[in-house]
Amino acid sequence: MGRTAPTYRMLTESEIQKWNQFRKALRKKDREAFDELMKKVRQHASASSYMASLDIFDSMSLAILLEHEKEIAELKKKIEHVSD
Amino acid sequence: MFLIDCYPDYEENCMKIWWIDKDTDKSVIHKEEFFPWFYVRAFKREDALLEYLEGHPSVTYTIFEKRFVSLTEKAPVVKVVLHQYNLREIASEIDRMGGYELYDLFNVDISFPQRYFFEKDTFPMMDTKKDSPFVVEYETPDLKELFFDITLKSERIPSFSDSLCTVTLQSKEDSFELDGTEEEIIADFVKFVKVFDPDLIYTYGGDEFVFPYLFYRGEQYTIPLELGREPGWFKRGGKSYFSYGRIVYKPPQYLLKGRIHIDTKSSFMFKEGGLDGLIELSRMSKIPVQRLSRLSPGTAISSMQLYEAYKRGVLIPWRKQTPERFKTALQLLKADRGGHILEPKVGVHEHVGEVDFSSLYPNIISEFNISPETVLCTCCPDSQRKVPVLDYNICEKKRGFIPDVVKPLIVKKALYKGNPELKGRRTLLKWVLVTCFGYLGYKNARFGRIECHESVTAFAREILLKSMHTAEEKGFEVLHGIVDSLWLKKKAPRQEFEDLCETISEMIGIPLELEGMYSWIVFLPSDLGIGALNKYYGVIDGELKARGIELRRRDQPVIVKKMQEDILVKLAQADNKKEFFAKIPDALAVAREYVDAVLKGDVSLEDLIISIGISRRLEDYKVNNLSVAALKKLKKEGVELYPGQQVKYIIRNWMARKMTDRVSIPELMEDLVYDKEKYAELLIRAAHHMLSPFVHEIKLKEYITYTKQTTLREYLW
Repeated sequence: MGRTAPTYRMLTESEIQKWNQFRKALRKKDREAFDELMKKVRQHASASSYMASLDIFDSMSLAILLEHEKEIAELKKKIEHVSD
Repeated sequence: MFLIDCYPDYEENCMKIWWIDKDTDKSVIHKEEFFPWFYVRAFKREDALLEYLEGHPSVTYTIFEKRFVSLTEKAPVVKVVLHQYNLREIASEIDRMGGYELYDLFNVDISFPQRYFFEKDTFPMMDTKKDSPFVVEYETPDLKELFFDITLKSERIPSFSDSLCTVTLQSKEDSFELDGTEEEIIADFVKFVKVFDPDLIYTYGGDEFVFPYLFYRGEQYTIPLELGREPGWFKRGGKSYFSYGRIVYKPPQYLLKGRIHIDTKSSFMFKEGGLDGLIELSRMSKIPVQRLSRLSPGTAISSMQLYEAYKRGVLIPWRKQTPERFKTALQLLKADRGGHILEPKVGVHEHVGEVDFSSLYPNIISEFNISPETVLCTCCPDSQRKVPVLDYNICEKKRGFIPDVVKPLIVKKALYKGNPELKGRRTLLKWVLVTCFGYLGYKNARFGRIECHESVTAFAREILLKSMHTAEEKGFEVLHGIVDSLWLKKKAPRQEFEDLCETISEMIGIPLELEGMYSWIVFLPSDLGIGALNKYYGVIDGELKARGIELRRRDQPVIVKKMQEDILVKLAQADNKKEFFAKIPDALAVAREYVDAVLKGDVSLEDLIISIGISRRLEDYKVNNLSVAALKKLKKEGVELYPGQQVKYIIRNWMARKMTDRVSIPELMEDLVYDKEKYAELLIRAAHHMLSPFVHEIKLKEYITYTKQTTLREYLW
């Protein structure tokens, strides 16, 4: 394992590497946002790993959406609190 | 009578078995006629084979039989019975004659003691014929033990050219020293061993240095170093080998006849399980204690598998040749995975319980019938028993042979639980069970098969997720999960955690146990900013538990470990999360003390030693690092280390231009210089590592080195 075929975590890291050029061309603020997104991706590496699909970018995107969904829900709750 | 040793006599072509009489404690030797045999399956040119065997002086007779040549296939084979012990030579010759493809050979590389025990259905350390390796209560022989050590006339690193100073002997009753001229000491020592007649000799480094050294010194005075009950030794040279991405050094071996030599320095199994553990495993695996103490747990499980095969009438292939089934890339990606891991939630938590499946992998093997001949068997392609996700079918008709090997080990380990006197036995059984899983996928293991390996991890992942879902349904938050353990959070009494374990155990069919409750636990982040896998520390049922921090790593100086221990001890005074935060200043104060001491030069050099396992020989290193510098210095002293051995050094001047000025060798004790700044940096880094979720590194450094005078509160996030 990890020798014959790379582990899912290794694949994810190399996919992130692939986007390094994209990251390089961003402004500092955007680069920071990019890094935050990748943190979200890594947080769900275990789910992607369990599914073991070959479309790595898809599971990365879904991981980000998931975290965003949670953040939206949290913000919604806060707004309700404010409007009360 | 207890059977304490068994070995072949290659000259007399018989087995020699040593017994100890229970009443008199005297040892007795038995010579036993024993004819070894092996099998050949000829794919072609059987006539040439028979002709060769007929004319061979060692061959007693040959006979045709129909036997299992694999776990599933029967075929005609030739059984070759010998009256001489040159079995390996003959087998090699036949293999060569067949061009390494015409003839398959079986039952060749089984050691003589194993052959003997398999055939007679006896085992080492057995009491009488009525004794069984599967019982949990048994008598062990009262072995007469002797420990000895040597001191040399040497101020530097000991070598063969130094002369012998004293030999210290220690038995259970008393201890004394042999001195005089070197010649007298060696002669007296040999005489003493003969008269005292111990059953067991312990040394510290006997294989690596003490015996080779004594042999060499003895030769100078033509004193033969005979320490066994019969003349002669079983010797083997040392070697370095590669295992799982790591280089390991195996020292030479010095085995006695009729007496047991255990090298307490190099024997992994002795260190882990003690003599009691070794005896237990020796009985189970049918490998004599002396040999077993030099082997790995993997070899023990192999031997048990061979015996199970032997009992089932399955021949043991000399070299394994089942290829893997072809897989697509996606199948490989899905199948070639380990256990499941859930990213931890970084920070400090309270109301946390840790639950573990005990021996999860072996239990899966036994519960779900995972064995090379049952996974993807041809007899039940539509079996209801399937491996989750991978969809491999598992045989419904017969029980696999690996589950039969594993089951008694699991049962025994469970029965030994809770008895501190039997901890050694339990520990070694645990090691054997751990390696047992690894041997399912190991390409050199004779009854290994990668699909079994994949099946086990697939079941394990499914079980961990099922457990996670059940825990969540019951209101627990899952903080972290690794393969067979979960960290669960819920403000609830201990009993509720216990109840959850019971529910899950019943559902899965494998016992889940509450390891304990944490007063608090800290999960550390990785460099990538998310929770690091398996890096945590905390207080579980009043005891400290730490994983993955420097304290447990070998490449750090002792002082770093000591500081981290002291920090942990301070933090351990906290009983909950709130108190934990209140203790952080104390923890920082500890770090500050250590850094101060290092900068002032107020430390013992012992604490600064870094020991690192080397991976190659000096001349093969392409880079210049501190280990290489240390190796070069050692070579100047005439000391050469082998890959897998440890090199020890102190950082002398990290920035020095000349590599050899960067380190010093502790044994040489050139002077008391060390790189204060570098050690301070190592300490600060290690302290920060432990507190990274709570304190920023720069702030921590400023606080510890007094670069800014501010109150402590400002340093916390």
